[in-house]
Formats: sequence, C-alpha cells, structure tokens
Amino acid sequence: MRWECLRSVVLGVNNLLVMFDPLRTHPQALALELLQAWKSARPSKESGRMIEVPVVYDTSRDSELEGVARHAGLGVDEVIRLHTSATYHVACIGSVPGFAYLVGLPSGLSTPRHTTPRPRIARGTVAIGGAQTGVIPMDMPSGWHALGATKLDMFDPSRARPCLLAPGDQIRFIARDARR
Amino acid sequence: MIEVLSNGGLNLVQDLGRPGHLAIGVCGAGAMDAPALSMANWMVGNDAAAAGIEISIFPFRIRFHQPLRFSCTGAITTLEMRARKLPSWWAASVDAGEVLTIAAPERGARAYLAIAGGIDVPRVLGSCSTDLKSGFGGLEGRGLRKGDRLALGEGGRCDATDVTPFGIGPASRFEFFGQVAAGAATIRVLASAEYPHFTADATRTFQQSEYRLTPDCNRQGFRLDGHALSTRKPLELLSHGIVPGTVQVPPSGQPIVQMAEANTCGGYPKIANVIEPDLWRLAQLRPGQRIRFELVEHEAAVAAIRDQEHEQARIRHGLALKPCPVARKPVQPNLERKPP
Repeated sequence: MRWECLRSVVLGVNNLLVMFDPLRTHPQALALELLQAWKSARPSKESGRMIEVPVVYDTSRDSELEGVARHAGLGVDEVIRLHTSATYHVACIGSVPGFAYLVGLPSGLSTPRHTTPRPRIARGTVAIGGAQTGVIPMDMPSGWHALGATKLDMFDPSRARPCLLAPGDQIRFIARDARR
Repeated sequence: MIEVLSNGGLNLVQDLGRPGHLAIGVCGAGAMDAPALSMANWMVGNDAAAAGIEISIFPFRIRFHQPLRFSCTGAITTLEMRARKLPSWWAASVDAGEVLTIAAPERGARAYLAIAGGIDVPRVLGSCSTDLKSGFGGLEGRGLRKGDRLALGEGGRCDATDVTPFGIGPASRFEFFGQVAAGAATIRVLASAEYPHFTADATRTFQQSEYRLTPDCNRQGFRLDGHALSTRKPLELLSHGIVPGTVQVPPSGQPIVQMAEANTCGGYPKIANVIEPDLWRLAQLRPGQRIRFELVEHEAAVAAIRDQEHEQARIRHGLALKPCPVARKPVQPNLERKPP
C-alpha cells in the first residue's frame, strides 16, 4: 500500500495533521507525495447528513445568553432567531471527544470568549466562543458563552459510532420549549 | 485479584494507550512513561501493552489476594513488603494476603506497577487506559480509591514461588536522573510548524535558557516557566491537530508541552515538538525541576528512536533468559484451521 507509513490523519479546520512512522519515510518525501496526491485528488461526491439539534435556550434573567444579546445589541429573541436560522457545517472534530468545530455562525453573534475560562461548563451546553458556536460534549472548563442546552449526546464511547457528528455534516439548531 | 489500600486520584490503570481515534477527538492517553510500563510488563512475563498501574500519589499500597509476581519501574523508589524491602526496577513474587507499599520516590515522578497477567478492565475503544479528562477507560474512567478491587488477566498464575527477585537498570535512566540532579534535564525537540514565525531572540532563548516545570503539570500538559517567547507578529491560527510533545506558546509567552492526554486540536502557535523517545523524561520530572530544550534535526531524532529501541531490545533479550519472564501464553485451540 502506498500510504503504509501513515499512522493517523487528523483533519483540522483548514489543515491536516499527518502522523507517520519516521523509520519508514522522511517527512520531506512524504510531504511531497501528499502534495502531489492533493493536486490529483477530486472532491468526494458523498454529502454529509443533516442533523437537527434541539436546544432549550436559557431565557432566564442574567443568563449568559442575555450577555451575548447585549454584546450583539439585539434582543434575546432575536439572538435565538439568528442562531436557529443558520445552517452550520462541521469542519472537523477534535480538542475533546466529540467536539465539532462548526462554520456558519451569523457574524452578528460573534462574542469574545470570557477572559478567564469558567471552571466548568456542563455537557450538552450550546455555546458561542468568538466567531464559533458548538455543543460542549462533556463537562469541561471553557471560556465560551452558554446559550442553552441540548439532550443530544455528542459522544458515547460505548456506541458503535461514538461520535454523533462527522466532518461534512450539516446541522441546524431547533428551539425547544423547556417544558417539553 | 488485587485490592487498593490507598486513595489517589492520579493512580490510574494504564496501558500503552488508545491510538487511532484522534479524528473523533479521543486522545491516546496511556502511560506517561510508556517505556517504563513496557519494561515492567516484560519483567513479569506480560506483553508490553498489558495494563498496569501508573502511580503518581505516594505512598501507594495494595494487597495481593493470590500468590503472584509483580514488578515496579519508572521512578526510583522503595518497595516494602512483609519483612523485606526492594528497590524499584525489581520484580518479585508475593504470597496471598501480602501487602505492598510503594514509597514516595527519591527520584522521578511516576512509578509503574505491573502484575503477571495484567490488570483486567473492560476495553474502551480498544484500550484499557484511563482517559481521566474524558472520564472513560481504566476503572470507571477515574483514579483508584481505597477498597477498589482489580481483577487480573489470564496467565496471572505465574508460579509465584519459583522465582528469585531480580532487577534491571537501563543506562538511559541513570543518565537522565544524573542530569536532573546536576540541574537540568535535556529534552530534545524538532522545530515545529510555526518555529520560523518566532523572533530570533525567542528561538535563541528557547534553546539556551532553562525552563522550570510549574505546579500546573498534569497528564494533559506541562506548563513551563522561563523566558517568555514571542512571534514576530501575532498569529491567528485556525484549530489544528496537536500531539503529545507539541510545545505551544500561548499569548503569555510561557511554553506548554502537551502530554499523554493532550487535546487533539489546539490553536496556539507551536514552536517545537519533543521527540517521542524523550517524552518519558518529561513524564519523570516534578514541578520545580528544570529542563533545557535541545533542537535536533530529523536524523538525530530517528537515531534517538533507534537507540531507545536497541536498549529495550537488549533488556527484553536479557529477560528472556530468566525463568519466568517469557510470556506464558495459554495454548488456544486454533479454531480457524479445519482438520485435514
């Protein structure tokens, strides 16, 4: 096989990490081969899936969602409308298990991250950090602003397919009533 | 079966890691000092990849519920049993009911306990290693607590009484602990993607000055403290893959080295990458100890991998001459082959 020296390939947002066996190939030789292959590569016809993510937006007083609205100069309802109106594209998965980097946040919703990360943001939190939005797949520290929460499980190592999303998938956030 | 008699959130079931899942955000995890775990396993007749215990909280105590053979490598410490003491990097046999205490190390940070047969915990995504950050693998994805009972794998009934204790002493370990005692350990690195974006002052300082491990050093990464490093102009990078050994430089200018539970993607500029055969050296350092980065070329890094492989092969060969340490694989009927 041509790429047998490869150990792992990790897709980034606009880049690729290639791990290889240094006892079998020289990095420069491999880089040349990859660039050659890139020139002749054709886009895959496969299209991603469309996945709907139900979200209960946190409309309580003094919520982080209110902070995002204030920063955007919009009402809370308008933020929810904008956030649910866009179709997002999964660029890559990474950082922590099941976290999807999404492209497509309406620019008006960009909100700088907290300067000091919150020590714990709950699994399932739907949040905005800078120009990105996403679903936090596990309890972790984060500087992102919570908009609400979803019950969709982004990652479960015991599932046949542990990670819910894959690069190329498209997602939409759907506002749900907290009582449902 | 063995029973844990001491609490320690950072005493973890680990094997050689969980490769192949970086693309869904799952880090490799596994032993921080992987060669130490491999050697400990060989000393008790296990495959290198059998699950053992990575110990970072001392003293660590366990009770053996059956006669068996164990070994302890990694940090330089003392193994206390009923009426006898041995140094680490030794293998010995114990009777049922015996208690082993692994004392706080004189040198090094992490000890590895291997037990004949290996620790038997369910595999998650192909590995027994604990991913503490993500909360899965090992024993319920957490550190070991007093009262935990760990089952052992097949082959764990290696005749405990027929083996005299013995020890091994890899030369690389003496050299490393000597360096640490003399002031600073040398850690070899390759230049990373953003190396050319750093100022001339930063690339010089990075190689010539010493960096100290801060208290903020864990299985995810080590935060260092020393001369701040800066890029010629601010770099805005989109998220990209990172690996254990990646040396990132956040806006503070103080480098962070990614370790076994590194996030799989990051965004800070990368000045360098610690070569794989030196990751165990970092893993055996404690907060407050110092390192000096040595920039090497690809050829020197490959030579370092070969050196490490040769040392391990020699040790493995030497152990094969011992009465027990050749893995006693259970004879399994070959179900694939049809009778002639």
